[in-house]
Amino acid sequence: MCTLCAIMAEADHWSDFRAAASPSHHRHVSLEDHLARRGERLRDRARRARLASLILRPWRISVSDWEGGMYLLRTLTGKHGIAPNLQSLWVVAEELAGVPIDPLEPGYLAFLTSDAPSS
Amino acid sequence: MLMMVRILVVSGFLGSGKSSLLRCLLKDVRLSNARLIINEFGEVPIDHVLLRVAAERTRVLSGGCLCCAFRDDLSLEIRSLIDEMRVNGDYESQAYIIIETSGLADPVAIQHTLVADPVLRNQVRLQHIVVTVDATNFLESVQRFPEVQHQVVAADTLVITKRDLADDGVIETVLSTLNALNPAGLVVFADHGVPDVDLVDRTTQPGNLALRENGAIEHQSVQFVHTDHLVSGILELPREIDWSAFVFWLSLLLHRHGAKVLRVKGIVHPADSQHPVAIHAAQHVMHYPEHIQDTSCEARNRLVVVTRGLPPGLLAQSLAAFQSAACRL
Repeated sequence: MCTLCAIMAEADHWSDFRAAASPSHHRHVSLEDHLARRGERLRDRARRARLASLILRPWRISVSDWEGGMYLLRTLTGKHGIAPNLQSLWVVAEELAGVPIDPLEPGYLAFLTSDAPSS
Repeated sequence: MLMMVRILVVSGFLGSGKSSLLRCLLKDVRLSNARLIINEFGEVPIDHVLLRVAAERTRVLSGGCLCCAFRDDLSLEIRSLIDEMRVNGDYESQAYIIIETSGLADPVAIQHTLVADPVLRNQVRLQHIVVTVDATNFLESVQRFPEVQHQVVAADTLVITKRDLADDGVIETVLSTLNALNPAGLVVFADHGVPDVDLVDRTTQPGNLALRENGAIEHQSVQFVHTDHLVSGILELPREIDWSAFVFWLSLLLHRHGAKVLRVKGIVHPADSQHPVAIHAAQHVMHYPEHIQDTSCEARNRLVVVTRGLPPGLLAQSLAAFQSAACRL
């Protein structure tokens, strides 16, 4: 648990698997190695947050990385929520959006493939 | 190095030959120290008597089904077996626990127990799910019982039993139905409980991802009278994929449509990784992805999907849309 914010640490979720890490880095990691790869992890996490913002743009939800451990979701009206992994990210996003987010909805797919500028 | 206990799950509908298969498996020298968990739906267990296995190696959970009534019991049982194996010194690299489910169990629920339990997930590894299929009445039972459909879709290996009692024509139809329901599954025959391949050393991945190599595989669907039809298909992936976008897509798909996505299985090649990654999901249960060292499966950038009513073409389109969104970052 984080003693400052009283948030319980979550078990490793499958979506946190990092394809770029070499296979030996998944089960047994030395502390030195863990620290040496901190930058890499944070960059990866920040990119995921940007990708999440893009994917959730139709619902006006922006996502930022919070200390490499949580995703912070915000709407234009100031509603916000936090999610430790992607599984809860979708739950929180649907709560904020007030509607289900369907990855198979044709209109949404059209948005994802459109050439709208990314910012 | 921490040794993982390997778990073999033997499932199949009532009377489809699970116990006969198990009796043959237990003669294998590699399983001589294996522990056995038998689940029976009835109150009075008889399977363990039929199996004639030493009682101290066998646990019986009767009067309910592992996948619903006994989920906690199952993880407690596995934990206590692991402790016992440690004490007895049987806990070496080749430690096995075999679970024989009741005829009505959904193997995915057992998978879920293994993946979700915070203690077990670091101690056991689901090696393989074997499902027996009775050639004589499979075609009828698959129509009538969703349990049969679920078992077939969840299987890594499908073992057809009672071949000698069925006509050749029936066997043909059984084979094509199995292929449509579970394109990634390996189908083998067992005569009088003796399977014609080695079932002990097979793993869920990547060995039996021997997807048919004849290129494009059209989508297949099996129509059921009482439930939605099942559709299977193969999604061809680009040579290299954006891993983050793939994870977003798959997690959202399982979040929103998990109940309808019966199976996602395959090997993907992330652009930023030297090794391909094995993907294995069933309904809401996603196994932790794994790097594959084996280079022989490099060419297989494919995902097998089995759904209840979601067209694979639409899934492919959605996957591609998420990939193209990542390109705009």
